[in-house]
Amino acid sequence: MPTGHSNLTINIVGPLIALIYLLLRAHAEKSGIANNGGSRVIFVSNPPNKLRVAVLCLSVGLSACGGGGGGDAGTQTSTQGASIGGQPPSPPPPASPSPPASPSPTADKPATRVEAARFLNQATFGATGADIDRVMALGYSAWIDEQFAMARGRTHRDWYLEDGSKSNGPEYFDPNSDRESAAWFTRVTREPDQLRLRMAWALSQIFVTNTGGGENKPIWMDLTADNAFGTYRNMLQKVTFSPVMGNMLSYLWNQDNNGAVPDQNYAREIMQLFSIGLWQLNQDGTFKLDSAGKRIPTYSQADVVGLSSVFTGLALSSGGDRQGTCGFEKRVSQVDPDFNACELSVWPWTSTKAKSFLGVSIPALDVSKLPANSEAVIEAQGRKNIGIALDTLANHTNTPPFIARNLIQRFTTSNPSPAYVGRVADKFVDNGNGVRGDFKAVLKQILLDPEARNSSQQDKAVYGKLREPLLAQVQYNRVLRASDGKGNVWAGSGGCKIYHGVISEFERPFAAPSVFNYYRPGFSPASGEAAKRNLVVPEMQITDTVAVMDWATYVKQTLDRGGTGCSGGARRQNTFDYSELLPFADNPALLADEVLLRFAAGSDTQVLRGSLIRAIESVSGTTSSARINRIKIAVMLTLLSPEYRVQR
Amino acid sequence: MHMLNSAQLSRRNFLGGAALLGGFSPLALQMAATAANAQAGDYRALVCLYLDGGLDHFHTLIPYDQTNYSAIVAQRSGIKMPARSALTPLSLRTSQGGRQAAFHPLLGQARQLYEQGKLAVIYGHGTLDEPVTRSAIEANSIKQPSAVGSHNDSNAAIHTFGLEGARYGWGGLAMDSLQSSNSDNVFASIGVGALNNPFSDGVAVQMTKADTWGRAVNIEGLDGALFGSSVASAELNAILKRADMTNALDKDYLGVNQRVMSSYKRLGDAFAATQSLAPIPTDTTLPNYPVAWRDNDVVAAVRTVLRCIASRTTLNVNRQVFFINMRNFDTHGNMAADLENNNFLRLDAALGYFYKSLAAMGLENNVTLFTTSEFGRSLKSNGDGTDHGWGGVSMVLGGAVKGGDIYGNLVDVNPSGPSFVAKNGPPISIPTISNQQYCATLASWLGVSNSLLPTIFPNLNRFSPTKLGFL
Repeated sequence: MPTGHSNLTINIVGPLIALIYLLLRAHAEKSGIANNGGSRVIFVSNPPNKLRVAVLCLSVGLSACGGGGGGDAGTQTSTQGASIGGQPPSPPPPASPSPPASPSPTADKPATRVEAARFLNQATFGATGADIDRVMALGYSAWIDEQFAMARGRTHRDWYLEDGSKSNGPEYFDPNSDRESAAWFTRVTREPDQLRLRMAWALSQIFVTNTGGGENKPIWMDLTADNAFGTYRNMLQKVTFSPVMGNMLSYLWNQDNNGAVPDQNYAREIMQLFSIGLWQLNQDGTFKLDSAGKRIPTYSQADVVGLSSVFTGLALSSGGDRQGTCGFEKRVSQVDPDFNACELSVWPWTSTKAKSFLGVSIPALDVSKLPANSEAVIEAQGRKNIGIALDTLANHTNTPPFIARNLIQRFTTSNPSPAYVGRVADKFVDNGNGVRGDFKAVLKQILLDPEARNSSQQDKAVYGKLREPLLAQVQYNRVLRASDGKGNVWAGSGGCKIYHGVISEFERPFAAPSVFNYYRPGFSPASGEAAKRNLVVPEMQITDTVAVMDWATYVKQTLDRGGTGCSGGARRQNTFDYSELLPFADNPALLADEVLLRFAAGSDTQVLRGSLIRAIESVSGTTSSARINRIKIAVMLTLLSPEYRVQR
Repeated sequence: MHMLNSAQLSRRNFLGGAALLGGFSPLALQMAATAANAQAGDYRALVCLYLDGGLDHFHTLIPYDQTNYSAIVAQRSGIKMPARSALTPLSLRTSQGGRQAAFHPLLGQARQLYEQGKLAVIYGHGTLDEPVTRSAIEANSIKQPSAVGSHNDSNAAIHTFGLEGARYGWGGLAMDSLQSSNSDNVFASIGVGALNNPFSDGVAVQMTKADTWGRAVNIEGLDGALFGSSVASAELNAILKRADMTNALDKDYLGVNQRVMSSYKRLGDAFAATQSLAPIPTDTTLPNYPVAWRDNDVVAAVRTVLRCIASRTTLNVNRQVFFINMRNFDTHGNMAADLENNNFLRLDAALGYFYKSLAAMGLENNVTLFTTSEFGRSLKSNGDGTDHGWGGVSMVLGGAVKGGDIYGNLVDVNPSGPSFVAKNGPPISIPTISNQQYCATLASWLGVSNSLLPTIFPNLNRFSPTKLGFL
């Protein structure tokens, strides 16, 4: 039996840590030290034991001394106590130190190209040389305004129906060809309306659908992009009336009669995931606590049941389709009204019973008193009821901090300070012109906030977010200008061990495993440094040993093959274009700087730069293959480094 | 706050005193005892098959006696129920007061294994902090646990006994207490498939992922020259082994990479040595091919587990836990068709394949597979599916299982009766068994000492018996 050094460490240290944890947990349980939403309450007076737990927590720095983060938004300001089964786990404390009372204003022009690239890597799918030039010329604010004003790129639906089918022939309709993914990859990798697409990607991770293949994915890609610069309330409207969500959360054809009860799926998840979350929040995202120090639920099962009665009577105008499709494949002639509207109608079998939820009561509609043929009245009432429900959620005090924190995590940092969350939530409440839920104002605050822009406002030990597999893959392809020569970027191809070319089985576009997304906003690893510090690292939930193995294999294989993951038919081969980096290929220091600028801007790259230069210098010669090899080495070493994988 | 009994108080003092003295004798003693019991060939593993979404207990184990069959059909309008004539009631060793139940006809292999005494049914268990009754809930004297109804919290409840965000699961904690059974614990807890679960993580024992398709390689670029340069390869190695990073995310990302670098070789050896083990049938004339076989990622994941078990010597383990996530049990809509065209076919194939393969390896008494789900589902139909419930059903499979019996009470399908509560909505099943009893029984079989069970399962002592006797 090999008993190497590491085994020895495990065998000695492991049990000690485990023992301390088990002792703490047992002790805390038995002595009634409960972590009630963060403020430790001692039920049984026992000073020596209390002291002991505190001392152990401090001296061991043990992750068990704080609970996990949970899936909910929310941070908390009190100190942590022992985490105990049966009680809500302690959420993370504020990760970053609170910025000074009056954060210094953000300079609108980046001081350096590195600063411009760092901003672009938060706001787009990857900084290219041209993007950096543009931000240097315009400044942050004007660049954002330019993006806001930019024409909406072609729809995924158009790509799917027209471009794709024309350029790819019958293969395009092969259900295994990943055509929806290719539509998305092409848009985000190559097209200019980057901020809209990045926001759409963020919204798609809050309002999650994953229903099947076919047309549902392009519908959702378009819906999120269409509403990326709109308002939150309008987003809720579009989401609720989309047949794709109707299918995803099973409220298509939802009824409140015939001996059946309404389906509660949407009522529950629209509250838990799309608007108010499980626990009452302060405006800065910290949990409200009751007099006993416990978190306060935002809703009860009775609210779920009451709301479920509202989401009834919804189906397509043609009625028959229960799969949430709008007939892209069957109705390419585009004559069916459902095809273009792709929106649910309210039918007269919507529930007319009395409903109450979240303090709102809607009286019953007495159908017996209506004249004959009053279907339109019932339909209008059903539509009005849905409006009341969505207004209630959009106007709830929890919604601004809940959505603010979720969006911050998608763009800039996993562990924003309460002050940062509060500033973004304030913009959600009022964009300055009295409009609530204006995504443009929210986005601008997220990206221009002092905590996003000024390194002096960031705690370097915790700031940043782990790049998720798809963002890493797209950025890589974007910087190396991947294309099939016809303007398409393929996700990869079948027949490849690397799942469909997407670098891991964990994250395929618009195919999260459930409405709970690929990862949860409150995920906190069980062990390691983030656990010790009680940080959340959502993307770590899908960054396990197989995921990093897959990533390295994907990068190496695509560099080996000049852009394509593996053979999968000539039509679906990407080719890299190294032209952005070739001018620097004979100067190791310059090449290292240009690669680091694009991929790792914002990280402390001094040590990595040394490694890159030594590795680049090891390949001599001015032949084309020597130059390309130097570029490949610089790219590969960077893409596997933590300086790249952690976006700052 | 519940009252502490004297035994708990003395236990607190005992553990607390040991900690205060800086000694670690309780666990050390426990580990010594485990080591003494550990003899060559006594390998044991638990395989957790999580049925993600909330398994509908009434569609899985269908009431069969005429009264209750008629009653469930009446509750399930719009949901296609199998004809009673298509059902075969399960033999019962324990009287159920005349009530009978049958597996859904598509769970034929599960039924056979049950009748062979290899599979036990656990019925009516759920998330409970303390025993409850309908009247106590209606009188507000006992509250439903806050996790009930929420997927994430109920998922956390059965796997960690906390709410969502709890970091440590009972599989990982069980392995924490059994570390001395293994020469090392890199592979003490293995996850297979795309979805990780805190079940797998202890404080000391960390989950290692095994690729469903048996791929285990080093980080590309570390072995041999990289694009013609051995310097590049060496620099990549240095980049991934940096110890001076201070940002928590940097450190943890490096940690995952280093875990690949230190584990891939043994895992690769294990997979290489088991390439022909328990091949997945390719006979296209098999019933339900390809859903049950070719395209069944659960069978593929189960096969990966079998390959790891066969390689236990290479992986240095004598005690082990595995976790597999099987998706799509959240059957709010289109329930009958989804279960019948897909999930039941895949689940039944996986159960049959697993036991048959284990028996062929001669390890059927050493490995126990069990299912979990966050909750059962609501009694009434919502039109074509069911909503989140509370109490549910699970299966436990293996040669060590005292199978062929239902543990827990079959109930009368009467929404007004004592087995259901409808306080805040449509009726749901009240659990009569705590998940803590269910899981403690499994952990105990794996080797967790009685004294540590209440630590891992915090409310266990509020229930009697603390173990259900199916193992």
